[in-house]
Amino acid sequence: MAMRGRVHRFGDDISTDVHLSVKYRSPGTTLEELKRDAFKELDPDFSERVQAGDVLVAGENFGLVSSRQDAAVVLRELGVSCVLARSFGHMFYRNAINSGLPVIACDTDAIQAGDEIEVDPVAGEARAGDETITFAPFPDGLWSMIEAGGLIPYLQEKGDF
Amino acid sequence: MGQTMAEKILSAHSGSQARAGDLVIAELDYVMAGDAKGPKAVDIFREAGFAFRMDPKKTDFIIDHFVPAQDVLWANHHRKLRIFGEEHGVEVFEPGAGVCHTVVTEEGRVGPGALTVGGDSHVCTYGALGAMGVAVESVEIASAYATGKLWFKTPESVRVEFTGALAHGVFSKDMELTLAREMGENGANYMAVEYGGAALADLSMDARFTIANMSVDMGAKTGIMEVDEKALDWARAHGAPVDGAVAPDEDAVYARRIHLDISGLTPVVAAPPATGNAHPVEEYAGLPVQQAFVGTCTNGRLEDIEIAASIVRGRKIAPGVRFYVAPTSKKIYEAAAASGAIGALAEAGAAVLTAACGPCASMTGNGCLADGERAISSANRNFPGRLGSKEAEIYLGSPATVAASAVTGRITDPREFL
Repeated sequence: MAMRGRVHRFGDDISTDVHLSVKYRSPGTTLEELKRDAFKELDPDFSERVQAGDVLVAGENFGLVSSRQDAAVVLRELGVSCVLARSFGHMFYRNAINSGLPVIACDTDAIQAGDEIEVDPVAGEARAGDETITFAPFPDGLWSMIEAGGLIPYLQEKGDF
Repeated sequence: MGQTMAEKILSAHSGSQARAGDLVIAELDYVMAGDAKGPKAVDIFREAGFAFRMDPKKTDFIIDHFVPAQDVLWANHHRKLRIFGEEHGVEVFEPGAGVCHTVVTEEGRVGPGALTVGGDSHVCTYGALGAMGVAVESVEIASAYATGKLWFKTPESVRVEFTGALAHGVFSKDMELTLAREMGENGANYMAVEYGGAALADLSMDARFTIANMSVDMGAKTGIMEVDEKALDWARAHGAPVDGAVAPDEDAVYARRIHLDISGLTPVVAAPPATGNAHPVEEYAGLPVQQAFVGTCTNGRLEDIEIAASIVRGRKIAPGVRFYVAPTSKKIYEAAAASGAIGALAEAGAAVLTAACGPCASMTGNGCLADGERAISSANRNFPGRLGSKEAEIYLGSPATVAASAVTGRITDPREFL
């Protein structure tokens, strides 16, 4: 269940307005359009460079402010396998896990852009180069929920946690 | 190593030793849903084909935001809640029953040590009873109906210690706004604010609800207050279970500690754009206001209505000012009518509104501000656009500060009237 991918590095306070600007969003906007424009303000080529399995790494307060569930769904649909940050905005954090996107709070200072990283969510360990970073592991029930694609599909399948 | 109140509550409900950062799956004591997130929760529940497995006594629908229904869309959403409530035995509190958080506490749904979630930011209000209230989305409410459980990330805690005693004309709202300034923007992000200290003993339960309520406005996930006999008595008197009460361990680990001596505090108001932009009222005194509002889950309880009434009694609201008052529950409305407070407010020129959210946020369809207008409010949020025009300003203060400002038509230090 370990995830392996290349690191895209971001800084502190990346709000959902940066990674999913309202400028590119109107009631009729499709998921494909949202994917194309993700992070456009900060990193215009992001959606072209990102590959299946890639890992986003950020500093403090990733995804702060908004309760938009789209913000998590877009990253998952772009193929991002997980997001590591020192801390998260709490609504984004809950929305991400409920949408099947693993988000992990840990010390990200030593992780560089372009690193190959391996993340084991159930062991609570990530390895990038010579660095090993530990974090609170996902309990089995919660990891199964992520693998099922999020809260609703998981409960549809299992009926309970 | 000891535990904080948040760690103890999540441990007790997950059968584990929850420490800050740990992910747990926990049993819920109560799920609050209103007309803001309830209708979507019902849609998600139905589309997912879930079976309702919660004890229906552990949840309610409280219709408080869009009331009286402002259009057909919301009338239909309300109807959807009534139909679902009928099907599953969930009680529906109709428009006028009150603001969700006040109704939940008055009805004894939540007691000390309870783990609760709700479809509204200010579910942390229950912290005044030593309970943990966490705001969730519609999708999580739907899942709670199906399982009675949810997952949580155990928060770190900020320990706040209040000491000293409030001077005349200074209220718990002034304490919490001062704390918000100390905490800094997002200073409590994803954390629990744990309140304690000798000063709490002097505060009424009404005053304590105000403090717990605004925890979320410092970026916190929740706020939990230590309980004493006063809190336990209040819970018992309202029929809430008290056997789950928890206290923090002496050696609990906190991310941060803040000590606030409240003895020297003076009335404060929070200027736009954030709750933490709080400064002594003198700094803004004299700014004209066109709207004043006493109400909301923050400051619309009996004590708040009565202090506002005591200030306007025998006086008139300034010309050009709209003064709205919305008691936060039907019970409070009735008590304030019986005590003469409602009559005094009406006679002075206030418009007394339905016991509901009212002009706290313009999404409710109530009390929008026009371009260039300024309001003073006893609510909890003041960011631009919260109450209609982005070109309007909202200042936050205690009910006393709001009422004094309604009388003069300018932001006013309430001590001139007390």
